[in-house]
Amino acid sequence: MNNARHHTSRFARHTLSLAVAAGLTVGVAANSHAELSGFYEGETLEILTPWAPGGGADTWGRYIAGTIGPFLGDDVSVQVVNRPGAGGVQGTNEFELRTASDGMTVMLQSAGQVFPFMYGSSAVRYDFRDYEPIVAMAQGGVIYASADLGIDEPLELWDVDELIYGEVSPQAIGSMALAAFALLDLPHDAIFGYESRGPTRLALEQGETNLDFQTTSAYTSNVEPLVEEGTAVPLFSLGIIDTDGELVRDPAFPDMPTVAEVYEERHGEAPSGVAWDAYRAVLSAGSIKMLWAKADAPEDSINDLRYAFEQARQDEDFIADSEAANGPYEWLVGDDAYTAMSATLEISDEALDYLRDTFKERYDADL
Amino acid sequence: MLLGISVGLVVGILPGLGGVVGMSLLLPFVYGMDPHAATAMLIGMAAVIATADTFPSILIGVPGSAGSQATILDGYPMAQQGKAGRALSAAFSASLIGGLVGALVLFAILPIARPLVLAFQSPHLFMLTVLGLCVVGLLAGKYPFRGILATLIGIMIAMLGSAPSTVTFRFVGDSVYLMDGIPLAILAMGLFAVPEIIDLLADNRAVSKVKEVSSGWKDGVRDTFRNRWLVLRSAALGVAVGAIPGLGGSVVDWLSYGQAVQSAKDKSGFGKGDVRGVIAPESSNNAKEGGSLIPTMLFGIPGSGTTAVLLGGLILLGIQPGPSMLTSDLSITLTIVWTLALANVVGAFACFLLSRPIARLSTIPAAKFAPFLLIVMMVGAYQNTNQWGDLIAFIVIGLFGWLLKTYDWPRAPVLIGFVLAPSIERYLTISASRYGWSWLTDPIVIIIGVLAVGVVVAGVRAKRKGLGEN
Repeated sequence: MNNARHHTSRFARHTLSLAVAAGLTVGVAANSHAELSGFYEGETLEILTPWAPGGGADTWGRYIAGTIGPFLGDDVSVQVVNRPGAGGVQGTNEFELRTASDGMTVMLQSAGQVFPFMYGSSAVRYDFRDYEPIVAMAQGGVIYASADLGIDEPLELWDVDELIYGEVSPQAIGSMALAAFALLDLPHDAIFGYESRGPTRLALEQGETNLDFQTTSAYTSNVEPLVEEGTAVPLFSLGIIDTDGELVRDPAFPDMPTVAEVYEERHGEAPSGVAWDAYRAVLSAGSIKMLWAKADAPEDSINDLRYAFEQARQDEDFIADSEAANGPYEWLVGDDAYTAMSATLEISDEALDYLRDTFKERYDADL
Repeated sequence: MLLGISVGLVVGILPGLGGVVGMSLLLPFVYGMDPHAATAMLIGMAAVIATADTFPSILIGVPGSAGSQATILDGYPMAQQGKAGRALSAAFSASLIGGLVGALVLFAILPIARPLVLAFQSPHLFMLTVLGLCVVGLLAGKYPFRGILATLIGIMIAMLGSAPSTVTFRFVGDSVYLMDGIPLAILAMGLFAVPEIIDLLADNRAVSKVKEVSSGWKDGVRDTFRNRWLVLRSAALGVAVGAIPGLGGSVVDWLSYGQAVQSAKDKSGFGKGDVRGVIAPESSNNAKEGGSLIPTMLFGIPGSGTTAVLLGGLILLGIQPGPSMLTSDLSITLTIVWTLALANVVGAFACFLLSRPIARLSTIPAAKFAPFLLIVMMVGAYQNTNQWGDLIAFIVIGLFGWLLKTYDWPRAPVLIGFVLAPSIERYLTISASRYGWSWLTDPIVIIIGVLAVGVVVAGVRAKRKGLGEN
């Protein structure tokens, strides 16, 4: 896809691609995505969330449930249905095997089901490539260090004797940071076993670890105060994958360099090759939340969902609410959503082998 | 808030439904509400559950939620002796005071809590968990050896499912259901509720004696005031345990029961209907809500399943828990404190009012009552993950619990082992991989270790003596 940064041109491009996909001529293209068919009038749309209430993905789904109804038509109710189990695999299997293709249920995707899918876990019965992308949002995060290390710049990390990073497990969202360390070839020790990212942050505050990663919302509310009081030092952001699949600066942290910039500063050239592919695959797997529809759901339902989000992302109130709840991140609709996920969905065997070997060698962990 | 309280009452009274369920029921209403009203609703619900869950524990020997399991040990025998009214009123008044202490401590400690929470590193948390295991493993039942074994069985059951620090799954075979391990609610109901129902059906007697249900109210309140120091001590313990992330609210009642037994001069009545065995856990399980809100609000780290959902609710309202709770979001924080205090008062009085009609329910003959109860519990079990595995696990664990009960093996340690096993494994893994062997020489670790050994030795001795006299 060519580089198009304006709503209008992206919208047109979008319409075009849909039209082509639907086998229509370009002349009629504008109709395929330009209006609501009223598929959801008076109906209830369910967002199947394969985790218990209260986590980050669930909260994102509930934001959508609370706001998108009016864009789908009059008297549309949207509900989150929680089906927790096996870290997200269970509910997604259910979507694949038991959910009707009547357009009344969409699937919420987040890191929990994507890592087992990417690494080929035997429990996985689904393949995201079989579904239709509706909308996605990439939310970033920041790597920061304890002020005790006495460093101010990312490049000084290589002068520190003992970097200790707290992690949950090799397939948790913190593995985005591990993939970044692998790309940068940063020597460190990782301590696995923390319950979630909250406790890893506490461990850094206690001095049990000295290097940590937090997602945007947790970083702004809990780490920025530490930075202000001088106990923590921000280093770099993971970056955000844009609609062209490129890694760009995180809009929440426009003054912070990304992993790629740190790499470039150290090596004098932009990152490339298998470690770079692996990093981007892990990044999109861990940072993107998304809604998928079944491919054989009624065309009108998929059209209406995309149309609703396309309208919502241009609605001032919706965007203002979204910034408060989700951070300053874009809503990517349809093909743009797929493109953002493509590094994960189309990961090469080489990059997978690289990840397996790296995790085995560095942490003695089997993915 | 009143809506939250009503939901909390219902959820608390229904066996096996706990705070997470209640929170999930309310969460859809949160979006678009005024933040103060919404937090008041959620907190109101959470605060009342710990009061209302006493009904099933005392009247039918089935835990109303995870926090009132220890209440069964003495509350249920009291009901069988016809002292249900006394037990209930003691429980409600203790809950009320405990809850108020929790709210008060939350209010007082928020400004100074950060260093306290930060003081506990992984090795210390590991030792505290071990101490908790030692206390509980020994206090239940007559035989110390059986208590220790039962604790180990609980730890083994907890090993089912995913390992905490790797992506391996243990003992699950091809079962996707087992990947998450056995849900706590199912284990609790299976161990404590199913055996009671089986025995009720076998005897076909009424659950409790009818005529005295409505009497003894004043005695109960008087009991609470007579044991006021125990109430306050238990409340303090509840706040402390609730405030330590990862220790979890479902053990606080047992720890509290343990300290009540340890500190009592005359231990002979415990387990047979000593009112102190009701007061202590009830006081601390209401106080723990105040405690578990401390890490939730200051660090965004939920201390329990209930606070995890609350955290999601706050984020939906656009509030990010963290240090800002003491500055820009102070009004929300104060709302939380006030609601917690108010809801405890309202909840306790509501329970007093409701207790007669609800207590009458328990005088229905078992053959009529038990099927209904079983269905309620099955529904409660099934809604854990909505899989058939829930029902199978429920039945298997129920039979196992019945065997334990029949052969006089203590069941509480199984549950405690199960609850604390993940923390033990987690903190041990982290301690060992971070500090090698050196953490064993940390002074605080050694002190807690000596305490744990002391508890075991003293406990075994006391039991031996007790057995000798019998």
